[in-house]
Amino acid sequence: MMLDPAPYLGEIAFGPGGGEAHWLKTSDDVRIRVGHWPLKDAAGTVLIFPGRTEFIEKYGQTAAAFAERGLASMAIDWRGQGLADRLLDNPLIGHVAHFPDYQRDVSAMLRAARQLNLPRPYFLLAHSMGGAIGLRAVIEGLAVRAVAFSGPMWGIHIARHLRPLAWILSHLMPRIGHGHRLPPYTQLEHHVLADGFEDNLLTRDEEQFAIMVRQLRSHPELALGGPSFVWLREALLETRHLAGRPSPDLPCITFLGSNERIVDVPKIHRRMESWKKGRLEIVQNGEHEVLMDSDPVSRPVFDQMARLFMEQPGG
Amino acid sequence: MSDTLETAVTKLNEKMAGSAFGGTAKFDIAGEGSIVLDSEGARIGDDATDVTLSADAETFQSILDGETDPTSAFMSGKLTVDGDMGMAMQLAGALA
Repeated sequence: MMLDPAPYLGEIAFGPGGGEAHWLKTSDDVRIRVGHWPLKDAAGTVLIFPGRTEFIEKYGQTAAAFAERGLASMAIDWRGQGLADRLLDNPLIGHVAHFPDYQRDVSAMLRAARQLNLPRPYFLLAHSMGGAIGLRAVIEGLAVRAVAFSGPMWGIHIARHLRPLAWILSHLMPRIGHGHRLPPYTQLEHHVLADGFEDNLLTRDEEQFAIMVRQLRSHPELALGGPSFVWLREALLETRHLAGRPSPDLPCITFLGSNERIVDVPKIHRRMESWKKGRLEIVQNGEHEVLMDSDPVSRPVFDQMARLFMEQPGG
Repeated sequence: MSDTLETAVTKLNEKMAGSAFGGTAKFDIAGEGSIVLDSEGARIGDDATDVTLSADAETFQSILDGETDPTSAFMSGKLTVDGDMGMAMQLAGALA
């Protein structure tokens, strides 16, 4: 596979030195981007699966936290976001034709990790939508020793009375030629820029929020707004499908902010109660992005993840 | 030494007098030079510091005059931060 050098926006990544990025072609010919942060004598590599609307550089600080704990990192721009190919004429609408297409991006990422000879073993950190992609990947045998989830999207938080509407519209609108439009209550502008610190659902830390704003203002091409009806339909179908599949025999830790308001909280409790080698950690005062909060919130999260990864045999 | 730097040093010392900022910081003013800020105050210099803030003279001027909020300047990309972000935010608080 060709590994063409891609832009790595180091000035907004706040990551460890030596970060670089590459373009990859997936098996269905979509151009995506991966970034990695090398580390001398690393005890392994954490594969980072970001959420919807995110991009590689947003995980620079996460890579720095792992580097401090002896681990290298690699992150991905999923199809339709970051600097990867956008899939619709309007680049601001989040879209995917079929949710399992993201598994093609995972395959390309793994091929690149091997080709770049990133230090083994591999571990997984998957956030939000990345948590849905990552769950399917580990169920289907992704070669990682252990997995950590943060606010995983194993269901979408939709008010009970609106759930039937979400199912109906997301199935109906694509059939009448409106599958690429934004559902009600969503917007084209990125949540971070549209809603400001006071109304944001991601972090309670002003410094982390300032970094998120900075990243999007200085590189508007990274921004992404709401999802298409098709994306919503696909996400609802995928999370329903995943709910019926047993968890893999893999050590797992899942972090959930006590004030999570984006993903479906009961679904996370349900899965973690039955994940044999798994445990759920509720992060007090945490919002959706517990990795990007103040030091007292985020530090213990990184400590626990690194501990789980390091205690694996051969890890 | 440029007048811009000397004026900035004076203003910084006025602003930071009595503040609780405990780290070291450098202000790198494009085309003018750099200022170091530590527990002894501000002075023209280029020592290694916890954090470096870079911007053009106009942006610094506007921050020191209280017309631009340092956090907003950072968000809009006019001010670049290299090093300890936490320190930079503390400093932004002290300067605002």
